[in-house]
Amino acid sequence: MTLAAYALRRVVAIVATIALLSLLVFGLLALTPGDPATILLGPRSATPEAIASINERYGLNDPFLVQYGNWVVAALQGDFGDSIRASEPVMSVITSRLWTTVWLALYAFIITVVVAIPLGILAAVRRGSWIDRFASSITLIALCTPAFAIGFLLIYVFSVQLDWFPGFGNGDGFLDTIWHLTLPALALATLQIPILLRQTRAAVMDVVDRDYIVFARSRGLSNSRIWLRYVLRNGSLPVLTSAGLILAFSLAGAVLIENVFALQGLGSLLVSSVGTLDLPVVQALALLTAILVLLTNLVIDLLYYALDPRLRRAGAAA
Amino acid sequence: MARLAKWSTLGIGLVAAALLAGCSGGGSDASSSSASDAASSSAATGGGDIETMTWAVPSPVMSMDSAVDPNLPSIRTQSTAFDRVLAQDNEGNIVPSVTSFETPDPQTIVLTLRDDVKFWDGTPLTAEDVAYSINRHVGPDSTSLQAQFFGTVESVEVTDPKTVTVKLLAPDPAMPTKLAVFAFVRQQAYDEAAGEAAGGPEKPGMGTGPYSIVSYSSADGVVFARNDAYWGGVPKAKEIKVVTIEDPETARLAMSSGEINGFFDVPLIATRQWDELDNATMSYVNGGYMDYLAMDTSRAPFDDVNARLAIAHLLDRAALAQPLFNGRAVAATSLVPEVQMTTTFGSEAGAVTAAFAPIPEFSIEKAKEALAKSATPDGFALDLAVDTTQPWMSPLAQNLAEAAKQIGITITVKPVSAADWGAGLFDPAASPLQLVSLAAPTTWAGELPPVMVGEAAPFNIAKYATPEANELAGAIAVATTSAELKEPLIALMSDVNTNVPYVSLFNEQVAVAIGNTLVWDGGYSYFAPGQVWPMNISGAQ
Repeated sequence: MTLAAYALRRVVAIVATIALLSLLVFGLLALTPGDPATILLGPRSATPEAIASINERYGLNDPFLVQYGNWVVAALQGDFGDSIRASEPVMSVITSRLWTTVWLALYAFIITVVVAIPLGILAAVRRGSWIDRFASSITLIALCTPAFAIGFLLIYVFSVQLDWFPGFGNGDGFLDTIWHLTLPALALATLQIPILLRQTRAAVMDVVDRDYIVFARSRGLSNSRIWLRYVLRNGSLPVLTSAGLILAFSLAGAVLIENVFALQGLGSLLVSSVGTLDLPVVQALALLTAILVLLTNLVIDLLYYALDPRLRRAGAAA
Repeated sequence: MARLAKWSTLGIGLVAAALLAGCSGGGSDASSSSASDAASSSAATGGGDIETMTWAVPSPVMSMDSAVDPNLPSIRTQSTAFDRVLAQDNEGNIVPSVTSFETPDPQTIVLTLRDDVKFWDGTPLTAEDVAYSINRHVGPDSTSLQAQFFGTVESVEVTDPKTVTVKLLAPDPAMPTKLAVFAFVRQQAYDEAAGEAAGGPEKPGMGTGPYSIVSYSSADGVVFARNDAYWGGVPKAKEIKVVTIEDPETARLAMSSGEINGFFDVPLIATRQWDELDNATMSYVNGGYMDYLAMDTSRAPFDDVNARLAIAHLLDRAALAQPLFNGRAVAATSLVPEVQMTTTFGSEAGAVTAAFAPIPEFSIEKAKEALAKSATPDGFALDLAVDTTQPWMSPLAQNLAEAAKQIGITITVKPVSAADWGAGLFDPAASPLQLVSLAAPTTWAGELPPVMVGEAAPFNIAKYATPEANELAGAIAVATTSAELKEPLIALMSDVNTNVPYVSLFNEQVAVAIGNTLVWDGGYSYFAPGQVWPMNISGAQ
């Protein structure tokens, strides 16, 4: 099977998953106890006139599947309705926060990859050395420290005491955003680095002990060739999976980090929307988050396919 | 977050009527101001100009239209740009704003416009704009979140180019207060052109206030620019930024680093840390924030007064006030906040309060005795929902549950969101035991009792409506002077403290942090939400 065919098969699976998810997400409103019109009115006065107006506006008198169909058609055009608690369409509320979350996730991901993978490889190569022990120690400390504690510590040191970085907010413009997101990204990366570091160390240790590595050495292959062609390539597969999960997790909203650094991102929006029963926003966010996670997985799967010849051969045989 | 939750509740209408219905004429009977004390005093005097000041609010401003987002942090933000029809002074009295008012009869309010009020675009404020600003909350088809405040309005009509007449369906002495707190003045033509986008980032609104809106989004906050042509004088700050910081500790660190200059509604549980800031002054104001335990008298086990007494005896309110609020609350003596007693009865307040029957004292033995006399002598089990955004609720509930265990009552504490907590108060299927928080924005001691007790009370969580209570609540509702109020108030508060449909728990203070580069002229007031607060702030000199 070619890469294109593989990608097509995965995309079809993703579309099917999204369709199923959209049905579940739309069903949220129907499954929520109480009258949908009253829920959509939110805290507004639910007079009979207001309820009738909402029923007509949202087509709530139609059968469920008709309502779902209408919602899907509108959603495909980017129209998820209006937020109950804001004077804005849902997509406007989401897009105003989307980039904060995306930038934060990417920034933290880059820091994570840059720190965790080299350190993990070094720890594996020099097993038992001070680097390995150092990596294990910081991993343990980072894993044991709550996210909010790391956040407040960074704010206290780098914002209040040293005045190097702002302690809260999103920033305005590219450089200002990077400046504002440095501390939150560091805090988020601190939570992610142990996971990727341990995974990298374990994966590399697993590969370097394999027979084919011993055989490659006995054949007299150079160290660089052994590392680049055999160890890192084979060791990258589980690392790639972990990295993909980490990125997906960050994109789904690092709620605690957003809260500590007063970032108005998707995570804090989801929490506040659930708390205020702003169901149109919750529906759209749930679907968007699912799509982001599925797309991230798709990219990881495609990279997997490119890196692992066994998958390609299996596909070709099939 | 406690304050936020309370005013959120206020905004979304769960306590809407309770907060305002039945209160008297805007504190005109008041004889003293709300008490305030500064934790640390600054030697600086005000009057200086400010380039930019940044204030943080604890929840995002979801709309610049109060009809869509009437939460307290949003009202504070909106009032930077939009005047109200009337205003409140530091003592809670109703004072003129863009209009002055007269009440020729109890069901009529005549509003007279000032001559010199203009919108930011230079167009003069018209009587039609004022009528529109009220009318949008009036009527059964209004979807305004503030509609419930204006349920007694029959009509709002322009009677001449400078006069708007508000006709009421029934006497509503609280209406001037409602006009001062909730009736934001917006330009009709702008809103009509904006349609459903009014209040949103693209079309936030056209106002007459001291600041115009430069930019607004619920994610990034609001930037305001000074309106040099403001009818009330030129504000001291050139620019105001309002940002959202939901975590109070983040706000404290931002205050410490000087990134923000002020923070409203500091959680009382955290004030010890805030007091240590060396670049900010904490202001603590006694006000109308009240906490209660409500027991549904229409349902078992609380249809039995002895079961209610058993619960009331389990609460050591005086001992709990200190740790739960860092000493910034007192054990309540009745449903009525202390500040309302003082403003209503003046020097007589102490004597009137002393005449109330006492709330049952803390005594496990007496709780046991009361339970033994009840229809459920072997105890009972029920849930108690606690709003996770109000830090005092969970420890209080846990304390109560532990004490209850000793006499055979099982109370299961259920942490819930603010929305679920608010909904549970009115859910007939919810637990008959509820914790309640209310904010009372007026100075009148007769404000809360008639909306919490009696068959006509819209916020009667305890469903307490005995014939005697109904009669007393009715008498309080129509009282317009302290002399008329005194007797029925003493009788009803004694009735409530004796039969305990509610256990009045705490009367909390309000805490506000103000950077030392700023001075809040005249001191922060509990009634600031009814004021154009940025006009009270100047630079320290």
